[in-house]
Amino acid sequence: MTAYWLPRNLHPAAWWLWALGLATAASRTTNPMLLALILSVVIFVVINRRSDAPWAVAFRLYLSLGAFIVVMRVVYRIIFGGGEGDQILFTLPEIPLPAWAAGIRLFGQVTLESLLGGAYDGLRLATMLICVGAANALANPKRLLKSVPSALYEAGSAVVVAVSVFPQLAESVVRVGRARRLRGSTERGIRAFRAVAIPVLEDALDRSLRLAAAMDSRGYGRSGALTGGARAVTGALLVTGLIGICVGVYGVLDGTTPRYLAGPMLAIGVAIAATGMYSAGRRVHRTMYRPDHWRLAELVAAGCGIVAAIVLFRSSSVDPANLNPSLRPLAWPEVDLLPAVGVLIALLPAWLVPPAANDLEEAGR
Amino acid sequence: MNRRQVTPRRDRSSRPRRHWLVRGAAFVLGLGLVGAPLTASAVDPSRGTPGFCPTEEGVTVVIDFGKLGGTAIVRCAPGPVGPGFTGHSALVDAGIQLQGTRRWGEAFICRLENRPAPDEVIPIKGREKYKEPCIDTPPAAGYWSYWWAANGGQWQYSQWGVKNRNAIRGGFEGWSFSLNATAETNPKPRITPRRPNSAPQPTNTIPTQGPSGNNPNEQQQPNNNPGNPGDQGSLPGDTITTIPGNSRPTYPSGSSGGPTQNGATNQPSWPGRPSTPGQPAPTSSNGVPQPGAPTTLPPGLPRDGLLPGGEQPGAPRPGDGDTPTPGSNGDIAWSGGEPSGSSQNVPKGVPVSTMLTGFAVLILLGGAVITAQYRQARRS
Repeated sequence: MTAYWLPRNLHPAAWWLWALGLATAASRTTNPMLLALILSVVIFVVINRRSDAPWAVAFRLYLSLGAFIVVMRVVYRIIFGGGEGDQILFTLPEIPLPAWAAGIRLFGQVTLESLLGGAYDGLRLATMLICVGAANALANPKRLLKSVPSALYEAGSAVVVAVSVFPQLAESVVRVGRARRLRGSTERGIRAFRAVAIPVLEDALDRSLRLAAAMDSRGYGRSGALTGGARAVTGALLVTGLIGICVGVYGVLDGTTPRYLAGPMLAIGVAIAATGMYSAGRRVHRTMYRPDHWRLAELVAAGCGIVAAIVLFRSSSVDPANLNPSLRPLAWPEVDLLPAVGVLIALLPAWLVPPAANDLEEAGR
Repeated sequence: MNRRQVTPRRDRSSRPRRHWLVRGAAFVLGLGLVGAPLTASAVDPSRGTPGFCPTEEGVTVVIDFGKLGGTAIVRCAPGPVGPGFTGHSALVDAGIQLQGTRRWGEAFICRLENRPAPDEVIPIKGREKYKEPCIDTPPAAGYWSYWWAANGGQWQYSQWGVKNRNAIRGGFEGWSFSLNATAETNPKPRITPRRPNSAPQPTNTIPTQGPSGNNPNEQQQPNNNPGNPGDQGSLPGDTITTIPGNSRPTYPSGSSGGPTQNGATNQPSWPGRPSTPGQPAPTSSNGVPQPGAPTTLPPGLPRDGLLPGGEQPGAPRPGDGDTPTPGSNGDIAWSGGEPSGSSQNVPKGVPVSTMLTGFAVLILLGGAVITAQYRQARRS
C-alpha cells in the first residue's frame, strides 16, 4: 500500500477525464456559488497535485484568461444591456441611436440584474476553460500523445499539438519573463509587451520546427506498407467516427440539443471510430518507451471527475431551479445538497492520489 | 376578494422559516448544503393596474398561458407611451414578472410569471421531458410568442423582438405560449384586443374552442417571423389539437407517464420542499376557477392536475386576482388586487446554503494559497 503513495505522474488521460468531468458539471449550471465551488475545487487539486514543470506553473494564465472572460461579459452588459431589472446601480449617459438600430441601447441605466446575468454566464464559460487548463497543468501534454492508441497517431498528434499550444505559449511567456527579470529589465506596459512578444513568437517557430524534425525522425506520417485504398477507407472511417463523436459529445454536454443527437450519435460515432481504429491498428505496429500505466490512482482521479458530472446531470432533472438561480426577482443563489456533494467528490484526488514526481527528467522535455 | 389575496401571502411568509429550520437541521446533521427552490410567480402590484387600460394613455398587456394551463392575465401599463416605450417596457410597467435567457438577457423573453417554471415539464414534440432552463434560446416548439394589436383590431404576430418594437398608445401587447405550433398555427392570445369602455359593444369574449390560430377566418397574416429566432424550425403537419374544457390530453402521456425518469418531478423527494401530494391545491380559495365552473377560461388545464407537487399549494398562481372572469355580458370582470410580489424582492438575508458554499470556497482557496506558498518556499 505504501507503493501507492510514491510520487509519480499519473496517466495523462486520468487527469483529462477528471477535468472534463468537472467541465461537464460546470456546463450544467449557472449558479455562481456552485461554479465558485467547482473553481475552488479545481484550483485546490491543481495546487496540491501539479508538478513543478513549466506547463504546470502556467495554470495561473488560465485563471487570468477566465477572469478576462467574466470581465468582458460584464462590460458587454454595461454597454448594451440597458434597462433590465430594478436594482439600478448607476446611470451612464445614454447614446441616442437612429430608429433602424431600435433594440440596441448604448449605456444608460446599469442594473445589478444585467451585470449579474453577464457575470453568471461568463463564470460558466470561464470555469469550463479553467477546467481544461487544469488538465493541461496536471498532465504533461506530450505524454498524452504517447498514450494515444497507435491507430490514432495522425489524428492524435494534431489534437495534441492543438491542445498544447496554449501551455507552450504560457511556458514561453514565463521563460522570457524570467530572462528579462534576470537581465534587470523593469519596463512595463506596451514596451514590455514588445520585449516579450517577439521572443515568444520566435520561440514558438523554433519549437515547431524542432517538433517537426523530431516527429519526422521518429517515423510520423509514414504510410508503411499500406495500400492507398486501405488508407483511404481507414481515414474515412476515422474522420466520420470522430465527427459523430464530436456531435454526440456536444449533444450530451449541451442539455438543450435534441436527445437523438446525444446518446445515439455518440454510440454511432464510437462504433465507426472503433472500426476505423481497428482497421488502422491492425497494420500499424509501434513500440513505446516507458509507457504510462493505468493503475488504481488513475481510476480514482478519473472516477471522481466523472461522478461529479453524473451527479450534476441527475440534479438538473431533479431540481433545476437552483442550478439556474433567478435574477428577476433577484434571489440569492442557493445551493442544493446533491450538486454540492457531487462537486466536492471531485476534491478527493487532492488527497487520494499520489503526489506528482518532480525529478528533472520528468519536468524537462 | 381581499381575503383570498391575503391567504397566499401568509403562506409564503411562513415558508422561509420552515426552510431555515430544515436547512439548520441538515447542517447540524452534517449533511451540508440544502437549499429550497424559490417559486416566484406574482405580478408586481406596485406597477401597472389590473385589467384593461381605462384610457388611451396606456398599453394593455395580455398574457395567455395557453397550453401551459392556468388562466390569462390582463394588466395595464399606464405609460406614457413614447418613442422609446418598447414591448419590454410595457411588460415591465404592467408589473409582469419576466425572465430572459442567460444568453440574450431580456431581449428574448423566456418566462412570464415564472412559467414555464424551471421544473415544469413541457412536452414539446420529440422531447417529451423537456424543461426550460432559460440558458439559451428556447426551442421553436415551446416558447412565448409575441403579438400586438391596435385597440379593436386583430392580433398580429410581431415581426420584431420585444426590445425592438415600440408599443402602440392605447393598444395591446399580447403574449401567448406557443407549444408544438407551426408558424401558421401559433396561438393568438385568446382575449379580444378591445378596451371595454372604448366601444359601445365590448366583445371581450373568449373563443370556446382552442387557439384561435386554428380558425382560418381569424388568420390575418402568415406568422412567418424572421425576427424571432425561436420560430425557425417549424414542423409541417404538426397541428394543435383543440382542447375541450379541461381534458387531460393537452399533454401527451409523456408528461404524466414514466415515473422512472420523471418521478422526481412529480414527487417532492428533495428536502426542504414542502408539498402535499395527496392534498388538492386550493384552487377555489386561490382564485383560480374550478374546472367546469362557468367562469373557467377554455384551456384552463390547472397546473395541479398536471404536476402534483410541482408547485406549493397556496403559492400564488399566475393570474391570481388578475383572472378575467366573463360576466353576464361576456365582459371581463376584474377581481381587484393581486397577491403581493414585493415580498420576493425584500432581501431576507443570505440563505444558509449560500453562506456554507461561500465558506467552503474560502476554505478551499485559502488552503490552495497556503499550499502554493509552502511549495514555493520548499522549492527555493
